[in-house]
Amino acid sequence: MNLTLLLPEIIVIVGGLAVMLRDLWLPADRKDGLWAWALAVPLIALAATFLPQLDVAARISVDGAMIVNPEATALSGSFYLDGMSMLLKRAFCVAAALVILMSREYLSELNRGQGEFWSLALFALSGMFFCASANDFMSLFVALEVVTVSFFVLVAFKRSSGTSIEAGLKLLVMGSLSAALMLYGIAFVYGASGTVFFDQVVVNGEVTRTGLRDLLATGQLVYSTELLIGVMLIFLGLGFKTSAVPLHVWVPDVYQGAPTPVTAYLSVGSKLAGFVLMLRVLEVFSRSGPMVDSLTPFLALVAAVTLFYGNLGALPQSNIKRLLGYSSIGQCGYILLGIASAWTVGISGTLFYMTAYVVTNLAAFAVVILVSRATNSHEIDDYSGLGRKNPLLAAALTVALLSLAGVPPFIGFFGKFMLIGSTFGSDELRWLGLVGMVNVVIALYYYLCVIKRIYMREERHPAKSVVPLRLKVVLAISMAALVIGGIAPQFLADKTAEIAEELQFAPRPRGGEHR
Amino acid sequence: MEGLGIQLAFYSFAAVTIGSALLATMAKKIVNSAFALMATFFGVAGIYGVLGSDFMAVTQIVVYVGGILILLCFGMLLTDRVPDEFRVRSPRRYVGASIAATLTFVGLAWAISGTAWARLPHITDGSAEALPTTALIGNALLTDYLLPFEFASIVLLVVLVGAARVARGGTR
Repeated sequence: MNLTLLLPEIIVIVGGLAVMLRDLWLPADRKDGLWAWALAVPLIALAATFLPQLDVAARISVDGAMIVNPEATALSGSFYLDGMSMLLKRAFCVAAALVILMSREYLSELNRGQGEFWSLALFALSGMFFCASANDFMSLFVALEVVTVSFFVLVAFKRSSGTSIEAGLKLLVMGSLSAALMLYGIAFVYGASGTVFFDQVVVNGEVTRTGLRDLLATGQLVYSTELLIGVMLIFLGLGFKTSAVPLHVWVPDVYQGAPTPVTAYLSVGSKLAGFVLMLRVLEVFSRSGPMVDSLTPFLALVAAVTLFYGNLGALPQSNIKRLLGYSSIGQCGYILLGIASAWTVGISGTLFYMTAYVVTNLAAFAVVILVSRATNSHEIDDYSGLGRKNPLLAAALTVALLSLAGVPPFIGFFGKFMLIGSTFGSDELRWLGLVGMVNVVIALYYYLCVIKRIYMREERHPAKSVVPLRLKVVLAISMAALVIGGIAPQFLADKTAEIAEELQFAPRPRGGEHR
Repeated sequence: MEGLGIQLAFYSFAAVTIGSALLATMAKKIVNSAFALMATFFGVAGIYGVLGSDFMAVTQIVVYVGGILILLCFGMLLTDRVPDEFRVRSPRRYVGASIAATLTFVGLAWAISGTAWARLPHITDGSAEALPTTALIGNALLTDYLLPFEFASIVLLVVLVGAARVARGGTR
């Protein structure tokens, strides 16, 4: 048992509880200062992820085979710390910190419930942390539910607004459906294999607990239809979190109805939690050749449909939050494209894009918050003339949208480049790369339409946005990341390549022995 | 699972489950549906008992009969104007629903019957047949499943805070 590995999680949970209790003791007129407490938690957790005690080799070599290092697991193997979980935890910390900075302005309109907002945001963060480290299906499920249930409440947080309540209800219904699908899938996998654990646990040379990785590697568990059905159902359930087709229908309504900072948090936090679990599950099952052969076309098809749905759906939108909702479905398609090509070189690009997506999307939402505070509207028409009114805000939104669209020299370009490039590594996924390229063009059109309004139209609202210091910090950090990441992507790309190597997606046996 | 008694018990519980499930879907009044559903839940609990999962059987009764069904009844009591004739009956819907239900059934039956299900050792050799499973479950929760078990408390906390937030009166 190595509880030091759980230090960031413990910090976040204790922090969430502390904020909740602090809220009870503060007099009503001083609750505004609570955001600083909330902000400190992800920052301390971020610092904790850099402790040398957490830097444990994730894999060790035993008899020539690379296996999971028991030193990198905790809580009888349910918790696993590797490069991927570390990278994602840092990304989650940055996302939570930026969202907390953005939320302060929105919350000042509320007199009550600030403490609940902050503590729910922090509990959601703890769920994301455990998602990044989940090493069995039960932990995966509970961690994911913490994230989802927190978001049910956060989305419906603005009780006075009908759309907010409606969005929360929609998320609740769809979330329950997807949770049921996923549990059903887990039951199938358990029925076929007799275990829900990813790794075996060995005590004194005796296997005390069997794990899927080892069962698949030794051939004790072979491909079967119900195993495939189970994994597909799990992917559908995770697809809800990542807004993949067919469980994407909640996205535009919820993105529009939820308070904007919550939308921002949802669009990065919940999504990345789903993706990291997809990668983890896929990595476990990558040891079975026939499984890989069946899952690849499935994931590729979902990726292609998601890409087209998101990008074509975004074209007629007139509300910026809906537009970003459809755009986030499209972005999900790109990441799925990388996941579908996981067996070639897709992982590095996927992780790169996931990280880049956090800062890019949060920058866009920060501007949306500021503009809507001045104009009291989310219509894209009300962004007309923003270039003259608030040149810096306009520039920030332009950079964020161009990065989402994948225009050099911003960070999104390299992400898309790596993702689409990875599909060309195998003959059967080349069509998916072409689909991805077609969608880059479609996406560019609607992003440019927004940018055109910003610079080429007369302003409709004379009100200028006042940018508080906290949001200046958010914009400065995200812009710096977008530009520096775009000019010098090697730093992050090297890191993700290293993680991809550690993850050990076996190169696919071409027409291999399993067929 | 040998023995006529067990066979008999299984089939009678199965009959109760399926019969009352049919009743629940066919009943014209929603109250009748709810009470038929109670019999379904008891039947499923009985099947769990036959299969040797005493804990599952009790949980089924506590959670479904004691929780979900009561919620359902509260829902009916608190909702005004639930029409007794609440179902839209049209042949087109029957056809569509039958096709969907048949396809689901055939698909599931095909997948389940074609499966070499992994068997837990204590079921295969019958050694643990008569033992209560609660001790096993308790052990498993505090060893192998410690993380999900502990983290579930955060789920409950979030749900409590959330319920208080969403249900609180006033416009703020």
